[in-house]
Amino acid sequence: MSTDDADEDLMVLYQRGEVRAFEVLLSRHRKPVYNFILRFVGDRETAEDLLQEAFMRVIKGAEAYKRQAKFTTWLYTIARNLCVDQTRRRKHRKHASLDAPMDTSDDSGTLLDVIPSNEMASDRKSVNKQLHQTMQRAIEALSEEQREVFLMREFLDMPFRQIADVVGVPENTVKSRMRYALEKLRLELDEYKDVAKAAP
Amino acid sequence: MKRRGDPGEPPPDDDSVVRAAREGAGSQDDTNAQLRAMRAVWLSMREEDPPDGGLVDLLAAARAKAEAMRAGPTLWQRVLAVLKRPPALAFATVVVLVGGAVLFIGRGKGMHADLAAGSSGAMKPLAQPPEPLAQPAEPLSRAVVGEPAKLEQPARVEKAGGVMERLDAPRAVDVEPARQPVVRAQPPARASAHTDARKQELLEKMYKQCVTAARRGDCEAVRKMVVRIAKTDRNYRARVANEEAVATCLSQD
Repeated sequence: MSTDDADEDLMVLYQRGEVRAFEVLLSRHRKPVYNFILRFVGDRETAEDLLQEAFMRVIKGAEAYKRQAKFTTWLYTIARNLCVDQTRRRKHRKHASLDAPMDTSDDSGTLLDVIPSNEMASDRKSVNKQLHQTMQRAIEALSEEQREVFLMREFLDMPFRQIADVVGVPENTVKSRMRYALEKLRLELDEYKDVAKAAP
Repeated sequence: MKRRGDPGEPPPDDDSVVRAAREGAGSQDDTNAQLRAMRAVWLSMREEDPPDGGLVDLLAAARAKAEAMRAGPTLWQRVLAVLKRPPALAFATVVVLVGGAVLFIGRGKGMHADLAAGSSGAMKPLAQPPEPLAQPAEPLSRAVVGEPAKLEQPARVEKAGGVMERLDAPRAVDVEPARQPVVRAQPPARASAHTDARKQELLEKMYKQCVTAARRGDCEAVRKMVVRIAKTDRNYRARVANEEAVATCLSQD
């Protein structure tokens, strides 16, 4: 077994009792799944719980996994379902947003501020920070269906076909949702278009 | 992770729907530039590392599951897995349906058979003429022609059954009454006509027997016969009493 093995092969190895195969899968997908969930639910604590639950479900369902199924489709279907359930449960409950102030004072930082970044130039930092906050707010303002499609397409680079499998709708519906999501984001961020164009 | 849409890069060809949206929104160039800029922004958004909090638990669970999977499924689990497969499920469904149909049809046939048996049972007495009434002649004729010794054998007469039994054995008349069901089984009109004719014939024979016994001097038999005739028809009793030999026997009482 090597770390370059396909996800599906690793899963089959895990089915045979190779714990190492699961560890490779975990290290490969933990971060993207976490960020997908975090952007979906907008709450770090919930995202951590859901990430744990998603991989627990992978462990529990490992025996039933078939080699023909694409592992990432299965994994993101689990993660997506958990997110949808969580969003519906917490629909009327207020939770911390990534760009909401961490405490009551107006000058306190947001959750996005504490996310470490080492790739931004210092002179662009404040502009980008503002853009990121706006972007995050705009993504959260998308409907559930549009958000999941947008996140999978733009952040996970999934083909429309696979997104359709994960979400369980026809491919054309996915494309349509993506179109509306982009249009909505464009309108939301219209006032920042000049800033965005200037951003690196 | 592999990323698409570097700043300034045109959108990929497979995004035709997305492109169509862009084309429909005012100035195409402006929209495209705006979307490219937006994409650049969200792609520059930082990815956060997940906390390691639950990692230990996760790996422990994975190890436990791996051990369980290495051990392999039990026989029962294997059988269950085989049964869960679509062909097995389809076969089971067919078996259940066919079995159910067979049981249902069998039950229906059984009910028909029961009904048929029940109705034929009810019809049997009607179809068969009453056996005892068909063979009364022998003992009576013997008695008439003067064979009293044979009339004293009740077993023989009992086998004949019916109303005709024991003309010469009054004790049996008290113990075993005539078998009514045989007569009852006949259709009402036909049965009553038949019974009346038989009854008349029987009375005639009893009368003759009584007279014969009186002439023979067997007064005890005469008395018994008269009692029996009286039970059947009082007019015959009067008629028997008018017979001289019989009247003599009766007067000796």
